Amino acid sequence: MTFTFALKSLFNLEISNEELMHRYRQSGDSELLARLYDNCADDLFHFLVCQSDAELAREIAQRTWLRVIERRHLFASDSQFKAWLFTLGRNLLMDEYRRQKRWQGDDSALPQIVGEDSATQHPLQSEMAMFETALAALPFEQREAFVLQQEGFGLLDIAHITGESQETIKSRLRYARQKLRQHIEKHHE
Amino acid sequence: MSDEQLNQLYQQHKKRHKTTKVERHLILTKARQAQENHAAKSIDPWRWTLGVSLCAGLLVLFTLVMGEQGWQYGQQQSPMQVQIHSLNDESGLHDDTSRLREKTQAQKAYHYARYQQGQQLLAAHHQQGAVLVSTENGWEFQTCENELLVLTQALVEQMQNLQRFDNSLRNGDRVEIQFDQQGRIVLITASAAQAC
Repeated sequence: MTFTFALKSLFNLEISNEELMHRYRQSGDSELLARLYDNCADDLFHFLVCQSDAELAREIAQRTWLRVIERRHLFASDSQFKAWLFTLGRNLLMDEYRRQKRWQGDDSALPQIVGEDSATQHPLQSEMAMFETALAALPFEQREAFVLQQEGFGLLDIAHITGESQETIKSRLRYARQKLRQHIEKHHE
Repeated sequence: MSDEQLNQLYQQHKKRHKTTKVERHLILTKARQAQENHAAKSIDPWRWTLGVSLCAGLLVLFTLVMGEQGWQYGQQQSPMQVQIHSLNDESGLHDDTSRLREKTQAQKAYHYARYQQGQQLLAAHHQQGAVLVSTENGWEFQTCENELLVLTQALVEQMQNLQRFDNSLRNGDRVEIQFDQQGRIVLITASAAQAC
């Protein structure tokens, strides 16, 4: 693996996040972490922004990367780095919600990232603004499943990250897409 | 609205939320610190190998030096093995001791005789011709210088025992009397000369 990694590095070939993390786990080389950060930092931050606000998302993202540094030895070589990273980030976010007592353990109490009230918005608001509003209006778990799917995770990965069954995730995804469409189409009319 | 349009909206939304360079710099600074701490704590394989090799070399050297010294010490200290195939009885040992004592006495006697002979040679400082004139109640000699030399009977017997006299001497025989440095008679022998 080392020889392959060296060859890929020599010819500037694309190296997977798992290879980078495996090397980083062994060496602790900060340059490898920089490449991982460049590959995944925006994805993680966007996931956290969708589930919280920008300020909390920045804090949780930093804590997540610090945890990657501290616990790199816990990364299983056969697992997907991005899934591990998102799991760490999600767990930290949940811990923060529990600490702030915003998480009560039932669906009705899930934090809602509420955008501007659609009734007060300008009728010519852009499609993007409508999407942002619709996304924020989704229940936490449906939004989570939708964002994770958009980040390229399959049903199994999302189930692992969230700790739910695949059927539950499938259901959440279906509802999330349905609500997004309804919300955007409603404002188109 | 199709899934494709939703995906495009999501990607556009994502582009509006990016991490900053400051955050990246902060994380990588932490990573470098962790790397330096890890390097300080961890064992460099090359240094570890070098250290182990050095220790092994010293151990081998120490073993060799101590082994050599120990071997020499063992050689010095190891008792000489004596194999006894038979036991001498006490009488045999006594015979050997007696034989050794006799040999020693004989050597002493020989050396003493050599000493006495040397003493005689040294003692025979000068001599004088004389004539034995009487052998009754001691011996009387008349020297060539007309002196009368009288030896008591006890002295004659003592000198005869010491074989300092020629036992074949008769009255009227010509003799040679040898004296030491102190003038004491050492030897009296018959002389071939007819007159003084």
